[in-house]
Amino acid sequence: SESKWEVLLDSFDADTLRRSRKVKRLVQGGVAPTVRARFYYVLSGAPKIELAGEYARLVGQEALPVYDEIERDVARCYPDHALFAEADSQGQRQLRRILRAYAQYNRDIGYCQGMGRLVGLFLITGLSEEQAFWVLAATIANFIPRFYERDMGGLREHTSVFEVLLHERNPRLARHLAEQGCDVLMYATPWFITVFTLSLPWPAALRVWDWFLYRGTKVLFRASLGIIDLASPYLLEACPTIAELMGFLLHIPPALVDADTVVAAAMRVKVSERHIDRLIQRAALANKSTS
Amino acid sequence: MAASQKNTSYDYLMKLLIIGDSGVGKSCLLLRFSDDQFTPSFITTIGIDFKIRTIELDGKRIKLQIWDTAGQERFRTITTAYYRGAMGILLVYDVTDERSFNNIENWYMNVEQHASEGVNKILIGNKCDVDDRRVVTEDMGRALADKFNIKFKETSAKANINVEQAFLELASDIKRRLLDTASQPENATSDGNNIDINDTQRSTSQNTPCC
Repeated sequence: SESKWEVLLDSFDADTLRRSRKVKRLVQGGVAPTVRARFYYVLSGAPKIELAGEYARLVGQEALPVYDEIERDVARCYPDHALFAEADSQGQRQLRRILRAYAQYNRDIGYCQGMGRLVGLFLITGLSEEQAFWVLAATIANFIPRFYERDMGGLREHTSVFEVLLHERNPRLARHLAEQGCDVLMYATPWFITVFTLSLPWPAALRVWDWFLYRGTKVLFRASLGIIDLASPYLLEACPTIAELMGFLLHIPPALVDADTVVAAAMRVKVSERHIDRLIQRAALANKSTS
Repeated sequence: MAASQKNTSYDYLMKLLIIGDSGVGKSCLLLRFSDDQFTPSFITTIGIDFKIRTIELDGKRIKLQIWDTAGQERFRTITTAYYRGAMGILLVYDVTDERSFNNIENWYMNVEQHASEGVNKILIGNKCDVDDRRVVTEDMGRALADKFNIKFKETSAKANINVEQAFLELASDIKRRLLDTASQPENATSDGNNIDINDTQRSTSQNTPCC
């Protein structure tokens, strides 16, 4: 049945696949590890932006000053993963080349800390170096616009939307967090900037990613609110001050957020696309008027 | 102390902030201080992280809430929000990385711009155990600290040199400042730094003048 999926993924574009019931079932159960690379490649929209020979050209470009910043993080992206643990391992070399190529490809963004977590994820799922580059470029363009830009405007807008949704869903917790000075940017920055690859146990992060590339940015909010639902009893009962709150939210106990639990919690969160879109527009306007 | 039954009680709560360029070892310094550990395989700090350690100074229990920040420039727009509440700031550079040393001027300006007035500061030259790649001498570090009129220490999170001393010195400077301001009635409410320094009503009444 894996080859069946491969045929399916090779035959249709991302938007057609999104309308398929079969694909929906695939995502709900968690995409099989052997199919995941292909799934990410197609669903991210990479085939639509990929240009033959372009990656090699970007890699061959003259060095940019930002390469220094990349260099400092290459060994610090996945220090515990076998692919990237050793200095100058193949994983580290691929990571370095992809991040450098992206800095060439999109000079406005250049390099932002956190991007390496996405690249690592793509390489770990089994994408080739070149494909991982295009999946990165497509994901940034299509799913997390302006998150990594110099003013991090996209991050700011999306976290402020998350804050509104949090107030709507769990006003008691939202008040408690606000009263203790727990700003949403404090704990949600790593969630959003690395799309949970830093904050959830690996199997849970993969499940969220399967769903994120299938359904889009909205999943960021549903997963975040799902995590909050799971954490809420602890945050309200056992976390009286910012110290305990941040301790919990920045280092969520893995047992609380295993893959099935997180996905189920996120599924229970109902927010309409329209509501989110409207909030994002409002946040973007507010952001513009303050900057 | 007696006012609270919990063993987590403290006399002072201090917020510290660690800033400096990416890769200078901010998170390693914090891990050394909070858990007495060192790991060469650290994950890049995304946004902000924090740890707690309670210390004792002159018989007083001081709870240190230490915020660790991402070093990359674009994260400054996020991290400067935390300057305001900080009572002490560690400005960190890497003695093997000249640019991180030169950038201290920028970090210092950021502090001047965003932190509360009178915030205590210390300049830290980290990785002082690395002899063969050192490019910033101890004299250069001290000269810069003198220019800003702040304390200075060379440290190594890896070899466990001066880390404890750096944090304790900063904490004791803050404590002295808080006591000084608390004994001057006209200043007692002038600055956000002065509120909430004491955990219990009892110790508050000990430190503020009778009125």
